[in-house]
Amino acid sequence: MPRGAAIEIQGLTKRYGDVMAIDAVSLTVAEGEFVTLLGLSGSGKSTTLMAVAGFVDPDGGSIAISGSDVTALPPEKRNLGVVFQNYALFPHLNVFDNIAFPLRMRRHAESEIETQVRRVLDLVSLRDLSARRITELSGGQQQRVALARALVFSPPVLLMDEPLGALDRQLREQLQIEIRRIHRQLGVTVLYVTHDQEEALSMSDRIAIMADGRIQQLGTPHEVYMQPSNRFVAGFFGESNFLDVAVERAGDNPVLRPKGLRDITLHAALRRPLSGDRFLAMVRPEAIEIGDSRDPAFENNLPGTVEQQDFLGATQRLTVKTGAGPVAVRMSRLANAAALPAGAPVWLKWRAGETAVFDAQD
Amino acid sequence: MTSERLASHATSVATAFVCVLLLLPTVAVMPLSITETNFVTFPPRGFSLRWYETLFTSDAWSGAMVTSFITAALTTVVATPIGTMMALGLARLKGRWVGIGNVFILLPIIVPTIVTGVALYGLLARLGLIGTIPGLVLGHTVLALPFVVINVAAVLQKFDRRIEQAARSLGASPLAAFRLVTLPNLMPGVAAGALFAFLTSFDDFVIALFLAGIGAVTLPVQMWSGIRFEISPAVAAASTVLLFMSCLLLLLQWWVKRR
Repeated sequence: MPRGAAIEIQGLTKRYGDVMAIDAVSLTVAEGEFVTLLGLSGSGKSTTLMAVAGFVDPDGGSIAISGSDVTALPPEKRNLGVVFQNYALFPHLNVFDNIAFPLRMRRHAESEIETQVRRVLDLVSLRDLSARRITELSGGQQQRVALARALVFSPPVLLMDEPLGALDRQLREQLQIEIRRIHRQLGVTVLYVTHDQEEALSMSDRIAIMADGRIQQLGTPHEVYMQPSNRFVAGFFGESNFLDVAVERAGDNPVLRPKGLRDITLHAALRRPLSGDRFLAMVRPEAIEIGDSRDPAFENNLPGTVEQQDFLGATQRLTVKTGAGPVAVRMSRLANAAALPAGAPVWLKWRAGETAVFDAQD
Repeated sequence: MTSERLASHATSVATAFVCVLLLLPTVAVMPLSITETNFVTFPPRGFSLRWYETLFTSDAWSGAMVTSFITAALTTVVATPIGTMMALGLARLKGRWVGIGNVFILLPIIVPTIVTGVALYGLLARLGLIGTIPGLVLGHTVLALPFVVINVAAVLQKFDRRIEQAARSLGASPLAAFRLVTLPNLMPGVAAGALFAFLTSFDDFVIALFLAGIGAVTLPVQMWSGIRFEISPAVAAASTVLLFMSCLLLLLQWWVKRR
């Protein structure tokens, strides 16, 4: 079984004309780790991936795989599996010959090729389709062939560029689960590019959120979701409430005072020191509970009145007007929303650990 | 309703009329070739295939056909790879060079063929290539190149460069990626280009008239002599053969494209 190799990206820079596509990107991916580059189009995530694959010649910085520098190596010498956007399958070859291609390039014996192709066809559950033409396959099947072709030569690293972007939601979720299973089964290191935050959260060991050619935050899905390092990262993962706050006491358990409220203080758990003078406190809508009075079991209590209710299927959203601005609250579909009509006074309560604080300028 | 129908009928009639007008002169040559007489008459008198026999037995006519075939085949062999490479190069141009490159490649189509003919005559005469098949092949290659480039470029436009990258990532050298992935996918364009190159050479008269001399007379040049000196019905037979060949190649091209 192939073991994954570590990827070390150091100060990688690429400029197109006046635009910095990637600006001093450094990232270390451990052996067998699944790291996702997450960002909007133009954030530099694909450029970074293509530089690792060898198709983008960086202006500065270095890339090492398994400790050896590959920056100057042509793509065919890097021995990396690459799954491209829209799969890039060879339309003139059938499924078998597509998957056999990398083994033929490596001059394996035909009998060995036969065995290896069967092995990966089983891995991606396409056992019976080896004689099919590429044009006869569905999108999901093409994606599996692309994956099989990138894995058949047992590369230590698998690079994937928005591999599920062209598929419908249901198929995407199914393939996410399968890619994770294959990752676990083979122990291969995966560097994955997507613009889909849910995909990144559900699949990755760690996520690097990119914008303007830089990594904004690197952390586990829990870290980037619950403790975003700036407003951009917070906004990337669904809905969030931002409150303008002043820091009353800094340190590990800072005390925050929302602008416009005199007798309310908020508490946050903090991993970084605070700097600057304007701050934002952030809390996710689903982290907030609703009560009818101040509750000492929660560090944070904020009074308000219900403004609006929205039914969203699995959840329902309550918009609550507070002295610190409107706050969105997400409740289960099963919560008794009928008891909370517009105009009803409520107390919002949440834990210190659910509150992130960051500099408003970032 | 009725007026619409009338208009639609009128359009059909007009279209049919234009089609007949376009085809008539070409098709009219065919009956001339089956006459029994020694001269061209219309309508033809009697029925005979003797002029087709002449075509394949007389040294002048059969020699011209062989010359035409060899020249066209060699032109195809020379123009197809060069034109394919030009199309590949053209696809990599950026900015204003795209326009300049395109015009440069279309030049042989834009410049009157007779000008190309005169220019080639001066050059090839100095090289001693007048009246030789290599001379003709050189001249016809100039004419055929744009057609190869246009056909390959059309396929290249739809070609996804990422499959070339995929091949590289899977361990293929640039040359192997081109040979095993790029070229097979460009084949429809290359084949169409090759057919056009063959047709261009086979049908050319102007360049051949300058370069044929007495050693490399092609079918169109031989037809011209036939008309000038004897008005022989063999010319009509040769026209029919030429027409048939062109149609066959166009059909072949259509069939290749459909696949």
